[in-house]
Amino acid sequence: MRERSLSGQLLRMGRASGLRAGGGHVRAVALLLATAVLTLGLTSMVAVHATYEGIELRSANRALQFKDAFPDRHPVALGKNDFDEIDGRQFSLVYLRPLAKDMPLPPGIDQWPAPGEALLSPSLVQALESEGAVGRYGKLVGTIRDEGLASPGEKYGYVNPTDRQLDKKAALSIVGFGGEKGLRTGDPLFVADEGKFLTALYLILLPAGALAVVAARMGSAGRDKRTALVSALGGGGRHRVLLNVGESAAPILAGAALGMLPGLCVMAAGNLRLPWINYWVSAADLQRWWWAVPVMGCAAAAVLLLLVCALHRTGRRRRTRATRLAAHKGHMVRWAALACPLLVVGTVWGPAQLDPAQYADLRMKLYNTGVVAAMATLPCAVAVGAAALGARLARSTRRTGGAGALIAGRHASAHPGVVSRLVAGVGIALVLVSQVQLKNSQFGESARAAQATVNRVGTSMLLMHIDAGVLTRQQLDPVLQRFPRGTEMIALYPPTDSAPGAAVRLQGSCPALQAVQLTCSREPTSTAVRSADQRIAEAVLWTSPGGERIAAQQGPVLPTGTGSAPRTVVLASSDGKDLPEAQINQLLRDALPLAAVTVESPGGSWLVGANNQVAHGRWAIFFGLPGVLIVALGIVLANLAEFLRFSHVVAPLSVLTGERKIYYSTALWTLLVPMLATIATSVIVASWLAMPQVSEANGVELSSGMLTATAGALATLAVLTWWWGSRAAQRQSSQWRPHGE
Amino acid sequence: MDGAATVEPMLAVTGLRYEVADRVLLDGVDLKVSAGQSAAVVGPSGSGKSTLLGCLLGLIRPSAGSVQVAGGDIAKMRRRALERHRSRHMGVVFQFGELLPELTPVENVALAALLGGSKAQRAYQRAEELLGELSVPYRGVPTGRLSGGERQRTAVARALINDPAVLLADEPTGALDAATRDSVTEVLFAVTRRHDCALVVVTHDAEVADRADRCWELKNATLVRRDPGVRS
Repeated sequence: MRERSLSGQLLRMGRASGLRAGGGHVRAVALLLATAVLTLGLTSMVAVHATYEGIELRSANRALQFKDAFPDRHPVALGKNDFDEIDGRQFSLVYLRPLAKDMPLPPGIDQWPAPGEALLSPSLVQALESEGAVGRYGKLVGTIRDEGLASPGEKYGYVNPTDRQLDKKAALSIVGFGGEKGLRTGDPLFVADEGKFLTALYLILLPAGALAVVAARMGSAGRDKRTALVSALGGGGRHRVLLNVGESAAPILAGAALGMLPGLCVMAAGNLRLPWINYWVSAADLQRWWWAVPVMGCAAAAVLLLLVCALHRTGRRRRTRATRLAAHKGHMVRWAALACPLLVVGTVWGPAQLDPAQYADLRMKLYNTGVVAAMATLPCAVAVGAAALGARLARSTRRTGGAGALIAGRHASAHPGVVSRLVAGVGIALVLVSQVQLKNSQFGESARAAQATVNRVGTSMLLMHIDAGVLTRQQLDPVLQRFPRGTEMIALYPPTDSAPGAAVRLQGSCPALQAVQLTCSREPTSTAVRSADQRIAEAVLWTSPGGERIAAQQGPVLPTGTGSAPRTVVLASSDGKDLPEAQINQLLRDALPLAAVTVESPGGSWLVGANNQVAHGRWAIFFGLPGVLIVALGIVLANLAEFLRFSHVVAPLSVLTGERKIYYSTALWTLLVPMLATIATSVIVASWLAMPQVSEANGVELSSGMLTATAGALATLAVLTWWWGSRAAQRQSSQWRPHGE
Repeated sequence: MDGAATVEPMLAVTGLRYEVADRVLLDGVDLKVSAGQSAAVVGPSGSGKSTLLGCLLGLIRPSAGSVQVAGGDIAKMRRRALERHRSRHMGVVFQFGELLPELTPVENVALAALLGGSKAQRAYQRAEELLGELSVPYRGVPTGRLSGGERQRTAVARALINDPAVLLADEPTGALDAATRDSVTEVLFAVTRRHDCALVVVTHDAEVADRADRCWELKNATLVRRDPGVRS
């Protein structure tokens, strides 16, 4: 009984000391934020797993069962799965012609569309509407419900092909939908592995862990003293735990509740569209895992409680670390500051001097090392600049009389190490974000070349691939004649043997050959590829790599008989302007058997794959950006505590003179101005460091939008820190009493 | 218990009472100190010296009684008025100086004037004059590098820069060795007399208390007059 009442008393004592804590309860807010962020990170893990499980479940339910896998069952439909792309992103379409009226249906639809009609996902309908092409796959007769889609935002469609589109010989027999042995279509083919996602989540979880440690240790000097006192009075570990739990439990539990809110809201309110990434999270998936959200909240709260109890020194206390820097530390900051611009210049210029063909790996290693070193020294450069300006600022108060400027100026001048720690998070966050964005916008070699080709020739030249085996000239001719005016066609035959010097044969009408600067002659005219028109050179590059010569001659694009029909036809605009790719594709889609002829930009398939990779990379940024902001917040909080300790010295003066606004002007110069200066400097440094990576031709560029957004978020954080620090210091000062320590 | 003076007192405490949690810390405390005069308050730890100082500064609101400083009763003033009055008429010297180590002595002293609303040029000029008067080396030395005595003299200069009517000193020599204590005490009493301030020194140190014009001991929640040289 006595033990129980002691426990209650210790908990109440802890709670009371938390409530009485100075500094505007900065630690309580830090603990709340840390728990909330950790809970959010953990519930995000649950959400990722639930989402993948849902994708797998619904994809399995609609999987196509081919006759080959179920030889005993009767076919119920003929068709094939196909792909299309919008905005460079690929998606699946299922073309099916039912063979029986009672064909079983996949989930999410009530009726199979009639020939020439389509049922599409809401997201695909929206995308087509924005392109003004709702009827691209036939008459739209409805949408697919969520239970039939891998995710609510999936682009997906069921189409009943017209007779012209359906090539019964080439179509595959379908016996039903669903089951293990079925063929998965749609998003599962395009989304990254679950493991990759969970790894990306570490970008939030690790900073959340760091923030938790910072929050647990904030204002530790007082608590360490209390812990030692309790120990000296004979209190054991259990008593210390009760004191610490009593002090921290309220903000931690509030943080856990706050962190669970987004997950619970999505469950209650419905599907959630993730901003920027444009992915829809299914509420139904989260509802299946509803119990995991409170479990994660409790886990986060337990971790934080464990940290606040474990991260205390109990035995012999170490000597308190002075806020004033030792002389050698000041020297280190100055040397690091001096090294910063040299490192930036060295990183931008140095690796570029090495031959990329021979030293690609070394170049990248040198560059990455340089970036890390520049990131590490950047805060020191800002701090040394602040120290120099601080002394001048303090001297200027002889004229201006600014008390805050005087205190902050001298503080910055005397403690460059403190300033560098304050701004480190902000500087590192900006450079890191820019580097993550750059790395994720980089394509593979082939995709980079494809993007370079598109950048050079746009869609003024397209490659048409013909599946000659399924098409007759009678089918092709009328379609080609309906191509938009100004579309010239040249048949392209790659060399039949791989002998060096073998020419790529081009054959077309005189106007077509002349549109791409080729000589019009009935006899083959040989030309070097490198001296040919840019569009022809690109066409050869992507169809006959290594081809050095071309032989052009006047002649029909489609010769009589299908045997010698070209596999590739170059489409080029007669005026050099872009061709209407969508219109040409629509013509082919409507008039020919499915996928018998495809038209794409040179290297288009590489680009689609790379765009997918880039989209996956956006997730890294999506998780990484809040991650670095959390790191910045953690460091800011730690330094806020330092500002509060420093401002404590001003308390007697401010109380006695009644000048409470002094904290706002001091924090302006101590917190806000150095942080804003760091943001500005870091934007410049990040842009410089990005220069060796940026290549407009390859589509690799530093996203100014992203840099601005990050800088804006950090500037908001700086303003918040300034306001919070000032207010907390002001409140702390109101508790000051002589001998009140 | 009356420190009655011949001229109008700058500090006049009458019937001061303060109690917390059924414990009476101050009860019927009276104290009067005129300009140019000094009073020392001594007493054992826990006798209520800090509470009395808090009441004199207006940081603690008494349960009853009045605290007249330069003609105004700070016990009845609202916060803004109290802060203004305190800034204009009171100065304080603390046990550990409470100076900012990064600032120069001049800046530390001028800072109080700047916060009190003085013009910059005047504040710095006056700070240099006071530091010169108190023999503090103020050129090019950060306060953190001054000796203990020099720091306390800087604190005295800072307390005087706004020309206060009342100067309160809270254990001003508590952190000093004997020799430095004597010199700081000498300066403190001399300079306040010169500047015509009413000085109240709260101290443990009998040597310091004996330098005051009058000495009181805080005993059983009230002030008892003590003769010089008498030890409790």
